[in-house]
Amino acid sequence: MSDSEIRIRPSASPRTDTGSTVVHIVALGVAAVSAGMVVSAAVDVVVDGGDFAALVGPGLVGGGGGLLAARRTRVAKRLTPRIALITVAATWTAVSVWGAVPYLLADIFPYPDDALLEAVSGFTGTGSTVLVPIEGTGRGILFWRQLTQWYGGMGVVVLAVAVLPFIGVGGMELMRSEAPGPTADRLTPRVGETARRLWLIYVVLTVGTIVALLVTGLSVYDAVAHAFSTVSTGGFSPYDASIGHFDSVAVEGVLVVVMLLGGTSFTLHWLGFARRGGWRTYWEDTNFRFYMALFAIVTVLITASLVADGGPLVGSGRTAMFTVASLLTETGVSVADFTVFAPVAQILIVFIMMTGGMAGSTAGGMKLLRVHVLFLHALREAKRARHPRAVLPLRLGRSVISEPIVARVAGFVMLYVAIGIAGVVVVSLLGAHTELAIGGVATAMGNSGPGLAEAGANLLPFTRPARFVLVVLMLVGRLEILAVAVGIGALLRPLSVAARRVLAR
Amino acid sequence: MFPALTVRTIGLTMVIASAGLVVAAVVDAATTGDSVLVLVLLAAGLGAAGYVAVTRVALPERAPLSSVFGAASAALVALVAVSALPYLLTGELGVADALFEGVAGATTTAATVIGRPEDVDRGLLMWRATTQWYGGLLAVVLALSVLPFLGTGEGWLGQAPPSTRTTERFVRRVWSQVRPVVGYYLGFTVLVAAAYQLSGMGAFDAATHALTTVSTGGFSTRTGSMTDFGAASQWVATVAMFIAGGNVALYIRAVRTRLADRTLRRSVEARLYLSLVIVVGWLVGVSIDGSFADRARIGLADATSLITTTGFVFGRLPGGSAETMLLIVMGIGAMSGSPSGGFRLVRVVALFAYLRREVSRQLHDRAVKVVRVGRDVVDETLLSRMIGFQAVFSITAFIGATLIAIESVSVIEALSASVSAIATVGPVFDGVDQLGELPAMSRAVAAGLMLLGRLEVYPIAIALSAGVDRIDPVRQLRVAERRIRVRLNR
Repeated sequence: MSDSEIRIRPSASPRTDTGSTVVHIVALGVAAVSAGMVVSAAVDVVVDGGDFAALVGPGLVGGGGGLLAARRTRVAKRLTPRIALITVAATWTAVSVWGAVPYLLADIFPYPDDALLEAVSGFTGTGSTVLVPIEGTGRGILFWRQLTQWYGGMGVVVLAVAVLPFIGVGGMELMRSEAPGPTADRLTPRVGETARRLWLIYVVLTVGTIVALLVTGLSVYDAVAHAFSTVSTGGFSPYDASIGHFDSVAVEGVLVVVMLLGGTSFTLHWLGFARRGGWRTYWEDTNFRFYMALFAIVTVLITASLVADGGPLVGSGRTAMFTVASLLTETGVSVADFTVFAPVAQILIVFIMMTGGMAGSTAGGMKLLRVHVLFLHALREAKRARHPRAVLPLRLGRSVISEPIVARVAGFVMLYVAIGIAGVVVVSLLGAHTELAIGGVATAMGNSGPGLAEAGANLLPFTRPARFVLVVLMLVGRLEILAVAVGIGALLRPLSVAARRVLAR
Repeated sequence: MFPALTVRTIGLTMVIASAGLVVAAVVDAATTGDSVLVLVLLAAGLGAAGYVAVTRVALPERAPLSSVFGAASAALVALVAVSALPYLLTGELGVADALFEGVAGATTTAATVIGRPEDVDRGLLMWRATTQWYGGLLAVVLALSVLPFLGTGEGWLGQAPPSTRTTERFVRRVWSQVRPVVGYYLGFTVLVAAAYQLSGMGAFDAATHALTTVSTGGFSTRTGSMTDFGAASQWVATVAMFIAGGNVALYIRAVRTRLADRTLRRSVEARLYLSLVIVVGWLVGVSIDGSFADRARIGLADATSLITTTGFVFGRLPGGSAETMLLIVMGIGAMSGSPSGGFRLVRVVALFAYLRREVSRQLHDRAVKVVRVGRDVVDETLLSRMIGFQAVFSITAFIGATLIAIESVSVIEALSASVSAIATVGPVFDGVDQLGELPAMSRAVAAGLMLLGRLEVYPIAIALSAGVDRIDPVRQLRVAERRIRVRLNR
């Protein structure tokens, strides 16, 4: 690919601008999560976790250093897609690396790469863990672990609603046009303003969840910890049995609703509540109905499979509903080990892990908007079987989707599957059997959490190199592939230039 | 009720099948001799009925695209039916089993309900191998003559198809393409049979295995499939399968021009095919035990058997990463224009080119770029269709896996069974050994997948397109006009 030849929007002074922008955003990100470390340190004092120094040290250093670096840099006036993508990739990577420092200092993992995995898993909202056993680890550091997911969710909503649609990653321009209502009500394209609005929704959702969980009788620590990991559709829990630890219908009921809200487009939340569109806003959205239909259908099918295996109807329904809500939104908290479900239930679970929740939400996966568009496209191409020259525009709700966007959506889904297949091959070459590899890659790319076969509870059945591949796939999935591809390209560019120079001599 | 083209095609299938039955009867007479009467009577009946259909039904003046495809599908279904009849009439198998064996034969899948082929009449075994040979021939004809007109990406070396044509011209054109194909196919079969015999197989085994090798079918006359034969025979099988998985049109072109034509050598698809066999073969080889010669032989044999969707067994399939690779390449299949099944390598090449283009477009959204396969530029409508096809293919395989999973013991069993069926391969990883051993409902699902896979999931497209007939362009125009008028009146 010779993309250097067709540079369309050259920036005035690309090099300095790019560097300054990237450093600025990265520094702000590090400063923000460092503030979270300090908060976790405070929590550590209250719950007597014993890891105060490990949290407060990097918190103060990162906060100070980050703010200092942010003051000395600025964001370029015009952002090209490339710079935006590099910034996004750099921020997630830097924040994850910095976020792993408290784990290292608290010395809770045997290897440094495990600390990195736990941090990446947190900030990407994946929720896969290598911490075994979870209970017994300091409650302060566990609070930090929950907080990383909340931060991750915060980053993702902005990424998904304010950044990706305007770059148009994988056809996400759709998000711009899909918002119902008159044009003036759309989210402003200005990233800063949009981000503030989204974070307001996010914080309101979190506080609401904490209150609801307190009402069901959870302790303050548990309510906050689980609100952090479900609003963000992350999936960590400070307990080995995850939500099964509480064995409470009320807690599960609250969390099902919260996870489904987390997996709903935040544009819809904004239009529905801040703009007082109410529940009708949701129901009028075609893709929301698709989301609910998929949730209902898969829940019924898995309930049926559990009942067929001899489970009681109500209990099976409860388990199935929670599991489907958790995995369709790519949260990953659990009430039961689904790796012991019947194969048919497991295949359906892998499927929803790949599709994910709605676009513009904290959920991972390919996003239902894309799945929906590709599905309609396949249907349309099938209809051409009899009428090869029929002109059949593709409609989603009221709007007609333009052909270049359809092509991008199709391209994204295929790229997702192609990377998935390549990932399965690599992971299996690094020592995993087929089922384990398929489950691990699906869960990492979908930012879901649990894998198949032995990896239902944690990722320890994978070898260390395979786990590293999964870490990369978590970032690939979270940043919608392209950001990672461009980021790696940007890293390799100086190398390839140098190599070309050497070869030219 | 039935279009004339369909009736003629079914008649032709019956006539051709009766020739195969006669051969089977001769073989039976020379060996076990228990089924001679049934085979001869069946041959006579089918031959007569088919002859009447072919001679008495006139071809229609024009045939729309969908009826051409309908005729091709009818040929496949007719082949399934006539394949099943001898098993049924000799009392060897029940109705469901006979039909499954018929589907496996006609779709060239190595799935069987016959546990010990050694106990079955030789004539029936000969017929069983012949059904796969016919199935392979039908697949090549479909791939080279019918599917290009549907634009699913199969064989796009031809030009864009017109939607209707005069039937006579169409038939003449297809026939001119089929003749060299039949010639190649017959000649190749004879060569492979001779090679098998030289490698130490008996005449009967050599003939039957040659029939199922060149068609990428995979039926065997032994319980242990290829494991019952020597190393030399296994090498012959590997080479023959590899050749069978290539594009027949390119072979014919190369032979006609006395190798001056370089399309085959330059083909990106062919290079990918060769490298895939070597890489997967190496991977299988390192994951099994034995001497270097054994590993090389079994590794390459397993890889070729599954990539070409033949399905011969050369030993226990390996686990671990080799299993993962085999599962993936099995779904992809071999080259276009061959009797193999699956997704076909040419589509993989095109989709990768498409992906590259889309990724670069993401950063340079106004760049105009074309998608190429080798030197050919791929038409955009064709690309769009291929993506649609890919989605329908994947969804079908997924639904199949879900249905099979209801009765299966593991996720991998269900997944591999579905992929194996839709790609017309046969073996299953984990759980049962091959599709014929699945429980009743799963077996029916697998049979459906085999037929859909052989017809490139096109019947689904036809079914889905049923609603389009209701779209009336004139009416649409009137509705649009009325809307504009309403707006103006305001």
